[in-house]
Amino acid sequence: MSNPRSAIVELDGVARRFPGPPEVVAVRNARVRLQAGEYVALTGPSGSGKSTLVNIVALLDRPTSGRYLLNGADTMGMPERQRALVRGRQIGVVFQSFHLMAWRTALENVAVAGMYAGTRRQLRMRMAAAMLDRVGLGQRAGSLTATMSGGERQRVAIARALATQPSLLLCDEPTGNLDSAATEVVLDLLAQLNREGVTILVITHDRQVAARAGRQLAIVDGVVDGLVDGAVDGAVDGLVDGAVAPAAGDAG
Amino acid sequence: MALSMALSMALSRRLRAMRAKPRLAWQDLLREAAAGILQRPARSALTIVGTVLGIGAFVAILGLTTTAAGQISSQFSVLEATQVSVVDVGDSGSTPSYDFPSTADSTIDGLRGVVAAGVEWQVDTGSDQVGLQPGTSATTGLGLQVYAATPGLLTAAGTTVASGVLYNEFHEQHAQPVALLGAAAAAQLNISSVRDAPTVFIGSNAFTVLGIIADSPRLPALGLSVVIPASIALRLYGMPDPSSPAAMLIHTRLGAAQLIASQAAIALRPDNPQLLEATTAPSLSSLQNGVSFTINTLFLLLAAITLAVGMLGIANTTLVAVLERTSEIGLRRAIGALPRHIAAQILAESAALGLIGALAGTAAGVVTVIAVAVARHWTAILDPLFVFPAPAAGMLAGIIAGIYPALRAAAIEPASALRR
Repeated sequence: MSNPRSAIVELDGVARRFPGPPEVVAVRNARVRLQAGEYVALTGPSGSGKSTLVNIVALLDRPTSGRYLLNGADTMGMPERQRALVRGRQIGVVFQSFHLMAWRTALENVAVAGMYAGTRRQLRMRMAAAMLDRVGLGQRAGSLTATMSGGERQRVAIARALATQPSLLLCDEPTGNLDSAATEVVLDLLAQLNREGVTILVITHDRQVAARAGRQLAIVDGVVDGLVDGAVDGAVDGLVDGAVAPAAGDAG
Repeated sequence: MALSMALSMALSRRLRAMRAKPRLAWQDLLREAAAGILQRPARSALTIVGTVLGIGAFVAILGLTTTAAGQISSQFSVLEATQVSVVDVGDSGSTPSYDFPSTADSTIDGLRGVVAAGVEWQVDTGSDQVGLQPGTSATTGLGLQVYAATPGLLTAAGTTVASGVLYNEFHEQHAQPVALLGAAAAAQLNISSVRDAPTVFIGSNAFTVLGIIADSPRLPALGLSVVIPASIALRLYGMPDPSSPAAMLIHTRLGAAQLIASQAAIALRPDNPQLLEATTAPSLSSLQNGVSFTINTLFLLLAAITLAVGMLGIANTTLVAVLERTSEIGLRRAIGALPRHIAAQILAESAALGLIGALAGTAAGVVTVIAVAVARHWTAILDPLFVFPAPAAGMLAGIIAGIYPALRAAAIEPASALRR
C-alpha cells in the first residue's frame, strides 16, 4: 500500500465552468486533500456540483482552472492517452447504477478492468476471481449479473473497481439504487476495505452513508471548503482537515 | 484473504512495470466483439440476412452466368463455326464494284470442306419500288428490300420454301425475271400462294414469283425481302454500291471454316485476291465474354443494390446497439479505453457481422448455382476468382457499414454516459 502519510488526491482551487449560454459554474472553488488510507464522504444536495467534482477526480473531465494532483502527479497537463492510462490503473470508480454488462458473468465483468491498460487476460481473470472473493461473491463468479440482486451487483462493481489495485476507490452514490439491507452490506464492505487500507472517497447525499466515513466534506454551490466559504486564502494544510459538513443536512 | 492480498501485491507490481501506454490486445478486441454480437443473437442473425442475400446473389449470378456462358458457347459453335463470309471490298471505296466471277458458286463448291456457297447483296433499286402494279414509286410502294442472290446462296443460307420452289442455276444463267418472296414480304403484298404464278413489279420490271421463303437461318434478312437472281440484278441495276457490297456466304463442314477463309479469296480471284476479304465467325471466347457481360452488368447491379441494403441493415443495427450501450461504452472509457479502442470494437463487431453474412451468402450462392446446373443438366462452372474473395468482400462491407456507428461510439462522452 501507499505511504499512509502521502496525499492521494489534492484539489487546489479547482473550478469548472460550462460555457453557455447560459454559462454555468458547476464547481467554483474546490480544495480537497485526501490522505492515503482515508475514508472521506463528500456530501451535497442535488445540483451542488457533486457529479462534476466526481468526473474531475475520476479524470473524466478537466477543470477549467486550479490544480489537481493525483499521487503527487499533476494531472492538468497530462495528454489524454496518459489520463486514460491513469484512469485504467489508479482510479476505481463505483457508480450508482452499477454499469455492469448484464449478459456476461460476474467474473467477466470484473475482468474487464485493466483490459485497456495492457494487462494480460490470464492475469486479469486471476485478479477478478480474487476480487470477487474479497467482496464475498467468490461463489457467484459464474453467474450472469442480470440474475443478481442490487446489492450483489454493486459488490461486483466494487470488485471491478478494485481489480487494478487503484490508489483511490471513488464511489458515486454507491447505495442510491439499493434498499436498506443491501445498503448496509455495501457500507460494511466499504468500511472493511478501508480497514484493509483502501483509500475511499464517497460522494453521496445520504447522511447515513456519509456517517460511515471517517471524515465528511460538504459541497455547496460548487464550493468545497472545510473552512466554509470566503476562506479561500487559507493555508493549504488547513483547508479540509477535520471539517464537518455544515451542508449535509440539506440532502434530498 | 491473506493469499489474495499477497497475489494482489505481486500483480500490482507487475501492472505498474508495464509500459505506460493504453492498449488493447487483439484477442481481447475479438472476444469483446464476439460478446457484443452474441449479446443479442436474434438481432444479429436478422442483421446479417441482408448481407447473406447480397453476397449470395453476387456468387449465384456470377456462377450462373459463367455456367450459362459455357452452355451458350457450345450451342453457338455449331452454327457459327461452320460459316465463312467473303466480302467484296473492291479496289476503291467509292465506286460500285462486283468482283466475284460468274462461276463463283461452283468454284468455291469445289473446295474441300465446303457444303455450299453463294453471293448476295442488297440491291439499290433507286426510285423503283416493289409493288403489284408496274411503275410503283417511292410514294406508293411498301418499302420492301430487294436482295440479289445466286442459287448457291439459297443453299448455303439453308433457305426453305413454304410454297413453290427456289429458283435455280437455269434462272441464274439466263437472267430470268423470277423472284422469291420472304414470308413477311409476301404477307405485305397479300400473296399467300404461288399456284397461279403471281407477278410482282420492281419499278416497271415484272418478276414471276416462284416461291415464298419459309426460313433462312443463316441469312434471316431474306425473310423480309424480295429475292431475285444475281444475274438479272446486275443487268437491271448494275453493280452493288459500296455501302452494301456483295458478299459470299460459305457453309463449311465443322472445323473447316478457318481453312476455307484462308483459301477463298485466292480461289475466287487468283489474279487479284485483295479485292475480297474473308472472315469467320467471332472466336468462341469473345462470344462468351459478350454474353456474360450483358447478363452480368444487369444482375450484378441488382446484387450490388441488395448488398447496399444489407450494409444499411448492419449500419442501422450497429448504430442502435451503440446507442443502447452508451453506458457500457462510458464505463469502458472510465476504465481506461481510448476513443479508438471503442471505435475498433464497434468496427470489429460490424466486420464480424459482414463476414458471417458473407460466408453464409457464399454457401447459399454456391448451392444455388449447383442446384440450377443440376436441374438443367448443365455443367456448373464456379470461378474461384468469384467465390473466394466473397467473404472478404462481405467483411469489407461490414467495416464500411460500421464506420459511422464507430465514430458515434467513439464520440460518446464518458461523463454523461455514466450519469444514466
